[in-house]
Amino acid sequence: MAKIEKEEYTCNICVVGGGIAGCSAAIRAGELNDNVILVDKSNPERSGCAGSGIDHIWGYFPEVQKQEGVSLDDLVEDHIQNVARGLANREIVRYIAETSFQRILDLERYGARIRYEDSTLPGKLRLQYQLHKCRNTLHFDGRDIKRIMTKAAKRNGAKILSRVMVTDLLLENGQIAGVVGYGTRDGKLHIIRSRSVIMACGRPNRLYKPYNGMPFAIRMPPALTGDGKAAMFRAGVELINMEFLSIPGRWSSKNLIRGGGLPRGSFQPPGIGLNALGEVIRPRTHEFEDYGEKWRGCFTPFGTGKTFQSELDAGRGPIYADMSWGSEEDQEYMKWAVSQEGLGTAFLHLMEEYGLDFRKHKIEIWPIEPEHSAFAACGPIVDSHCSTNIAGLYAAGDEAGGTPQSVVPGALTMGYLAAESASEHSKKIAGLPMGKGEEEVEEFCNQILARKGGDSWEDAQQFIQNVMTDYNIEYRSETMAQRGIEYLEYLKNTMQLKGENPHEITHCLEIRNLIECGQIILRSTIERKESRPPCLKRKDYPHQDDNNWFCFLGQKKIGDNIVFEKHKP
Amino acid sequence: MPPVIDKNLCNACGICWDVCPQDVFTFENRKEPPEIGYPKECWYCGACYMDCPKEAIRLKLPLQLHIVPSPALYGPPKRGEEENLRKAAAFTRSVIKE
Repeated sequence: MAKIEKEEYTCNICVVGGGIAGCSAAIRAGELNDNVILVDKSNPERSGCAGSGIDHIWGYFPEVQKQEGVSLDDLVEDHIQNVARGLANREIVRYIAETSFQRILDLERYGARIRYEDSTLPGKLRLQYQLHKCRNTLHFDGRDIKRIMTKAAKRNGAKILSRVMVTDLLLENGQIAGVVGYGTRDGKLHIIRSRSVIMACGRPNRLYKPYNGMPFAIRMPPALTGDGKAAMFRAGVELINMEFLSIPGRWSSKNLIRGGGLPRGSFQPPGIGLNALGEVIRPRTHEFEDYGEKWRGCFTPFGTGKTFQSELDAGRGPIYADMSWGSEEDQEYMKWAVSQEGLGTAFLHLMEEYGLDFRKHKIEIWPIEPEHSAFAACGPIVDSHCSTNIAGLYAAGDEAGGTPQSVVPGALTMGYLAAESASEHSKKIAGLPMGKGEEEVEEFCNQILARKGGDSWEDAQQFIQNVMTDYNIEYRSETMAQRGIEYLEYLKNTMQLKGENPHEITHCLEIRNLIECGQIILRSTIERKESRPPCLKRKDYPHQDDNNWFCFLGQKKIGDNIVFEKHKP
Repeated sequence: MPPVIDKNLCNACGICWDVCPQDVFTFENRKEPPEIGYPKECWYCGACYMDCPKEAIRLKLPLQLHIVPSPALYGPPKRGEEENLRKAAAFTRSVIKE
């Protein structure tokens, strides 16, 4: 019988996930002269949420913010109270706000363009209003930012291990000792022994049925299946905010779902939101004041007293983004912005291929499937150094829990911080730890290799998406979540997954992680006995209960037991 | 078949196969253009389209992902909208002074 082959590596710092956070960590760790391996399930040049681009980064831009009379403290407070609604890791929010601009300047040194002749702002920066009450989001040439960062990481000496999906952590006496991953192309088990580990994977993005019926044509990267969170949970890491969920995930162009760049971020200056009667629902942002609203951050109402959802409910759908207005410069700016942000270049290419034109056509938009979003901020609870509850294990960016809407600056700055923390930790570990943790995944893979026939991973994925969509969206309650857990347990015990090649076995391993994440989410949903809009609406506890639940809810595994703990932010 | 490779332009460098975050390409014979082994797993992210040095790749949508055209209501600004255009440039394009 064919058994899985193994390959071993050693390093001081292993970074898992090559998105913005992972690349930032690898760059900094390399700068500190550490022996670094960056492991990515695909290729960091184009992987993760920013793989095909990210056009904006928020931060504190001293020259501009001082002109507005906004201090660093004001921005931190605005983020915690208004963006995160009080539940946030204050020290990390402050660190992000304080250092984001420094990391942006690093990106410029690595070769990213961030300054533009037409801007009349200090430093020739293009700054937009986005999440906060001030003009503090940089718009920049971010289409190839991952290629730029991957190059910088290599230059600093980081070894890139592409096409390896990390599945589990190695532990020695409760301390981190490395990771084990599956080669998505070579089909080997890769065992990476390391003094410290930085987790920088993302969210579980394939848990819910997609509205367009296409499981991979979704908004956020379909390659992200909560692998890091599942691996950490199995190893005893405490996860928070797993019960939080954005429903819908976002409004996006219909059918061909796109990321942030369209239509919202680049709505302005030419963009406007309309109902089917052509009535203005979301005015052009600079016209808000005509509707009695000033821009006050991302929760500014549209000024018209109507929302996209209210128009659908009133029978005046569908909703459109009409981006046909504006000067030629406005149109060019909008197209530039769309092209720099997630899936946007492909969108413009496809518009051209199919004869669509922003001047001539409005774009229908639609509320898309739920997401464990940046607002939900689920992941391990971390301290002000990005440390988790396991010594030597750190988390950064979307992987870390407790910092809503930390998004790109969160990834950039927390990656940097986690690298500094991990570097310090590694220095204290004399010998290379020789931990264990690969047995379960080895057994899982060997079973698939030995199996003739069986269930396809596609069927298992559909099972999971049916369960999560039926039991964790509309009718969330204790009894529904309990039934959802029973379904996933049934699937785990019943499925006999088959995999003909490494590509398919990778998908089988993703199924293992999606089940793990689904069960964690449903258990936390039962435990938090309240509703907390907008990310948790329970039928059996419809009201917010700040006296008992203004806290992070932690969930971790100790032996075979699941333990919950409340943490004050 | 989401990415379509023009076999006349392709030089079989394998960059599309190398960068694809979804690993939809197969590249068994390194001298021939890659094949689309897993078309249903395409994210339509355009990594292959952007990074192809020969511009040999175009994306093709299955019917259910088509954007059905709908005419725009506004179009280029009309006379008398100068003030709004100025405000739009100031608000969004960071062109604040005249």
